[in-house]
Amino acid sequence: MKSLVPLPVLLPLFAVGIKFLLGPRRLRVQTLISVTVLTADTVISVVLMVQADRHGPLVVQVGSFAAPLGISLVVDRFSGLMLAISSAVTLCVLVYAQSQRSADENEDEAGAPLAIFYPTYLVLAAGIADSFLAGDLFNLYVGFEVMLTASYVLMTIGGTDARIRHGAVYIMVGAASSLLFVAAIAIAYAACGTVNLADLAVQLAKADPAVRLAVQLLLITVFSVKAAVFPLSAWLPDSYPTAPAPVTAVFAGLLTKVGVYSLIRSQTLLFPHDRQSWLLYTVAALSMIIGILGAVAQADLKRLLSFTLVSHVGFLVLGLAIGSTRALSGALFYAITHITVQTSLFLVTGLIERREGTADFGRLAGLARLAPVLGLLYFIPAMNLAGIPPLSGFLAKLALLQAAAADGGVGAYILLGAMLTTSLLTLYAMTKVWARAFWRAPGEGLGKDRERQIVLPGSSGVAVIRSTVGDARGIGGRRISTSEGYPAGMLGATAALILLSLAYTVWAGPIAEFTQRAAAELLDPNSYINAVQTAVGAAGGGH
Amino acid sequence: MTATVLSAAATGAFTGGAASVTLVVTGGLLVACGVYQLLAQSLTRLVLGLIMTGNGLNVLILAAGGLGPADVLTQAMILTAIVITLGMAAYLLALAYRNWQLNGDDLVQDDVEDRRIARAAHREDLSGELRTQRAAYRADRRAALDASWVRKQELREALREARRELRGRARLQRAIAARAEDYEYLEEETESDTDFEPRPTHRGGAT
Repeated sequence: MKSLVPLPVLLPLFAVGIKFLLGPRRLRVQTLISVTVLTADTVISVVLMVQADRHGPLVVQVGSFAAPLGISLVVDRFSGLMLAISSAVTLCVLVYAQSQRSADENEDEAGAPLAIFYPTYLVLAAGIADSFLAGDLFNLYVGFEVMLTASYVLMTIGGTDARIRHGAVYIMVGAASSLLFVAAIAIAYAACGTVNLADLAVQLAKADPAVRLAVQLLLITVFSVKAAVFPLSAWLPDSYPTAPAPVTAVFAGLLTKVGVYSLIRSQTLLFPHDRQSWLLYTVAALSMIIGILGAVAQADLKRLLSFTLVSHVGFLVLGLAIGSTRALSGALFYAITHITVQTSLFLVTGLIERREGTADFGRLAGLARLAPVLGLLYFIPAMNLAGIPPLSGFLAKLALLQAAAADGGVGAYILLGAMLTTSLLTLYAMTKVWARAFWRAPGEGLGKDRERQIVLPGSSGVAVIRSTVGDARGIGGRRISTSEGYPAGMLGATAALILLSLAYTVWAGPIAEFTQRAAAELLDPNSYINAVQTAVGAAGGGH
Repeated sequence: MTATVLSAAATGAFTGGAASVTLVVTGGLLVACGVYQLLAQSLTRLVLGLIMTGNGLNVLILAAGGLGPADVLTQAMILTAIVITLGMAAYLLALAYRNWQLNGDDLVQDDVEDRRIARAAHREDLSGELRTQRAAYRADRRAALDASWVRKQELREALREARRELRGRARLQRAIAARAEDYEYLEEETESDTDFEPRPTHRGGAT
């Protein structure tokens, strides 16, 4: 069973090689390969998750090198869960993107961007899987880099003006945080002589407290940039909305969660005794409140959703800040809910763009009457995000609220207030979109007119400029040609994700029990450390 | 940050001696220069900053592992980091080239949303100016009104004064007139005493 562990990383990378051998021509074969690989990934991840749940962490020493030197891949309940959900989500988004491409194929014959898109997407999937599996700090860095470099390509795909502009900011922020990560690794290695997470956990406990604090704060900074926690989140709402819809969806759902995963993993494993709770309390509360206030001010659906993403990452950091089993369990439950819900909301936005050519809800109107299917597909995840009772978002938030109340500290109560405010404002933002885009009478919006008169500061004239922000562009960078029909794959993938989020609601009991076990495992780092160290022995005995 | 890296690298450089100090100082200098370059707006400078910082950090990893030949891990890590930095630099250069194709320069542009906010701030400034001007105008107007009110009050006061004076004068006149009437009456009476019979009381009193 352990031989399955490296496959979520290896399979997509092999598929990329085969794709490059095939070249850009045989699109049908390529589609088949991508879908098969990601389906296999999903199945393997679920199997790994179940195995890790039954038999404790699965550890593989790559190439049978002993642990402090070699590369360890570890699946415990937490990483298994994240791996399973992320593979399922990448599969759905891939189907969506394939369908969007085949719908665009006639008018969008720019072969090069599309020939790059699918291999890069698979590299992204491999990078995400590697980040979840990484058992040492340096492999985590490599996983991040694989994921981020793929994301740089996907962000600037098609090379349009807007994508280059926003991509440059995104890439520089990513690169700067990666440099900080290398610095953190250098300090950790200098202080402890190891980068293996399990070994580091043992060594850091003995290290100089000042050095330990430096490593901890650097890691918090690095992962907060990746997770878009408030003071370090400015890059996210600027860059995400310009990318093509499926790219934004998978970024929003998964990339920030990889940051959150690393944050939770490093804090619980490496620094189990000094959590920097007050720092985390502060940034969690600020993320939630400032993020959602930003969302309320937006006029474009993609930007609004990006700001809610920043806001709701705060909920996950909050679970870590409180740090009890119940809080971490709630955070894990909320993480999987949020991955699914946020991705499906961005996919629905893509469908709206396909129909109307824009996601600016000043221009959208009457969609509830014109496109009731879209109304349904938007409404369910939007209510889930806002935390309306029967849905899984409510259950996860309730768990977090209970954990905050059980903690009983001043900080926890402040966070409790921030959580409630944020949920209320999320509901406000979601219903605002609903009232504008869906409930107004058709034709009441500003229509599809993209030209606006704007008086530029410092000039006396009135310039008519083409607004590029609300412009929907396809994967190849061309403007989307709008149509009233929905390609079956796009609709199906979105519906599948929404059904998945409904499944969390229906099977909330077993999932909550699982996240409880995963949280308990996180709070007891010894099982992880022992698993890695005994695997060292097994590998040593084998050779 | 650099200072922390330096101190940690220095504590970790267990071989000691001049060589590792040189490494640490070199690494620190590279990181410092690189960070300075990273603050620029031009993509080419950013690439330079990325390469310098990356290499500086690699030197620090080397210093952290010590100079002995035994530590293969540092070399593996540095090689990996070099490859990653190289790939990033190549991609950023391509990005700078594309930016130059589109815009004629390689500057990282201000975000559209930032510009929107700047425009809103400009509008806010203008409306602020308008507000102060309007406030000044209102103050002027109020001052003028106040002045006219004072004037009106003065006039009203003068009027009231005049009225009071007139009324006083009228009362005086009435008093004078009444007194004059009294005198006339008295005179009449004194004159008529001779004409009429004495009043019964007078008469009764007399008898």
